[in-house]
Amino acid sequence: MADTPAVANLAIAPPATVVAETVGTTRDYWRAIWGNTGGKVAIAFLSLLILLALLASVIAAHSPSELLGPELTSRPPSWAYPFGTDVLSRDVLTRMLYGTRISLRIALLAATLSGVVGLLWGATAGYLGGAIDALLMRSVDMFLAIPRVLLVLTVVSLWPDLSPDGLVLVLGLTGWFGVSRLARAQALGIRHREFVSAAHALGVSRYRVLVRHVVPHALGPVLVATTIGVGHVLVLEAGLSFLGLGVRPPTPTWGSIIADGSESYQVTWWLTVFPGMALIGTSLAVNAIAHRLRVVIHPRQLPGR
Amino acid sequence: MTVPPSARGATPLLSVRNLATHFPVRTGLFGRPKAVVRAVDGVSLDVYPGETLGIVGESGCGKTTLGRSILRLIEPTAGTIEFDGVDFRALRGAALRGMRRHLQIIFQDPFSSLNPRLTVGTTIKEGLLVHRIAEGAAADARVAKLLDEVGMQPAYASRYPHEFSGGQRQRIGIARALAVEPKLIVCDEPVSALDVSVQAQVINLLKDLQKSRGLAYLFIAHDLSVVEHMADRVAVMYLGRVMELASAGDLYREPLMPYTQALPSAVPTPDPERKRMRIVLSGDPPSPANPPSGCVFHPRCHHPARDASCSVIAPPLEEKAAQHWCACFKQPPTVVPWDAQKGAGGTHPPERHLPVQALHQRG
Repeated sequence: MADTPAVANLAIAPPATVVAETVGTTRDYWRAIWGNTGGKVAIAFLSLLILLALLASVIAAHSPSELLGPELTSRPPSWAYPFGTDVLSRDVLTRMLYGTRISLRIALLAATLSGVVGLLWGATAGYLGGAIDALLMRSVDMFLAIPRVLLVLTVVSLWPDLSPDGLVLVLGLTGWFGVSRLARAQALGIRHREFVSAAHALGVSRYRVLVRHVVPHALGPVLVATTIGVGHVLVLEAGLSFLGLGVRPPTPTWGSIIADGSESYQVTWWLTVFPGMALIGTSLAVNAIAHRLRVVIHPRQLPGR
Repeated sequence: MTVPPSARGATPLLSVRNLATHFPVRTGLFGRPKAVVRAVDGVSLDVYPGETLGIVGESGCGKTTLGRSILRLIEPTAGTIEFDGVDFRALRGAALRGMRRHLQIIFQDPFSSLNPRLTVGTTIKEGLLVHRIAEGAAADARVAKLLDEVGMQPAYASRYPHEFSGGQRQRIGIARALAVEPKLIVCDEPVSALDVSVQAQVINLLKDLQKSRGLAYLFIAHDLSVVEHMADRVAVMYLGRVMELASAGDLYREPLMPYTQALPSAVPTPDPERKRMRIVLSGDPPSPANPPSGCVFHPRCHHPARDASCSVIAPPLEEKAAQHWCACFKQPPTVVPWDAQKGAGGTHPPERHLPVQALHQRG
């Protein structure tokens, strides 16, 4: 073959082109986040917050509802009390540490709940199609017509002694409507792919096709939406707690700490600034991660792969 | 419609009678069906154990819909499908899924037919697990054996589809179909998406597998030379109907249906010097939503005896010579009497029209 003229090689058909597919393995997602400065900072920030929240009882010098005495009321930040104290003379740093625990836990769990419910709901609707699709998606339209804050406020104000887990349930079950639309769109696209037909031809049951072939393909966009949802829930929970409708006092969350200082925020600025910064920082970090995840799903739409 | 009887006196493996698949065209919200697309309209055919029945026709003639309707991947509107003595259309739920292992399909597009998220081994194994043919280590051993059988290394089981070329992916698709030990495989243009050099390899693989496993194929293609090479018998489809059905040899030697006669003219020849007579059809195939009356081919027909009766009487698929079926009452012999044709406005009596054979005599 060595002395075959180059022209003869042209007659040989080129190998079939391998179409680049967004496989979207866990490794791809991780690489997209960690391979980017913004992504690294966001991961580092969130890891630090989670670590602090987990070690709250070790780090904190006081208990979150411990009253330090009338002489330590509304003290500005100092070496002894780095984030100051509040109107009831509680250490704000301690309350922030414990509050991080509650706020992050609620945000992560509620967003995950939304993601799972939305994924299953939308994938089922898109894959089965027909009357079931119409029924499932029209009910989603109905819920989407009611503003989420209104829906949450109604449930929360009717629910006395709402526990943090109850709040997770309320926030999670009101946040999946948009996610279900995304999942449905993905399922609609997958439904007519030939590997789904092949599975049907093999005699695979519809439930198994849904779980093994349809749901995994809808996972990507749902993951992004869920990550963004973490930020939404975080702010929503802070808002509810600020209004006194979220986690009930004396349990600290970022929102309730801001609420504690809301009547004198011109003076006791430390009660607003520190939890506010935590909220903004976490929201930014979560959105940065979601943005990096999108790079895997829509590699051509975004620069900076 | 007359029904083609058994070609070899044997019992057919698959018997399709008057199969129709219609798609309603809806408009607006809660719209009533405005029109009906007759993708498959009254197809009858038999496939015998171990044989290859080729289905040819141009794009949009309903070949693919026919294949998928037979497998009930698309639910047919009417007709019967008998597979191995079982009324396949009557099956529901678990009974249907259980029966499905005997009828498999190989797809045209090797890039869309494999789930990109599953390894090759997982893909091939799915049928084994669902039908409880093998589990655990036994299933892995089966996968290795199947990969070897389709000419691939067993070690490829742990790889993902995107690591393979089109031809290799097609082999994986074949292995997936073989895993459940089918008796019939619908090959839906299995080589159209492949390079010519790879086409031959895949076709030879399919032929070898047919020999070793006694498989029957329903081989759908638009490439006449591929079908000539593969098929024992060939059915020619036009606008959702079977126009001619004969052994591959008869069909290529002496096509009777004017449509079939025109088909070889569409095949490019590698020799530019070779003169040949070409029958060029005018116009495009009509829309299956609004097919012509009578013989659906009559607006494009070049038969000299074509007349007004062709647009009135729907021609039955009738036996013109031994095992040579054709739907044209202008090619004698016919069961449509001349009087009936005259009554429908006929002016030209049936006569044999064999332009392709005339070419052979000249050449």
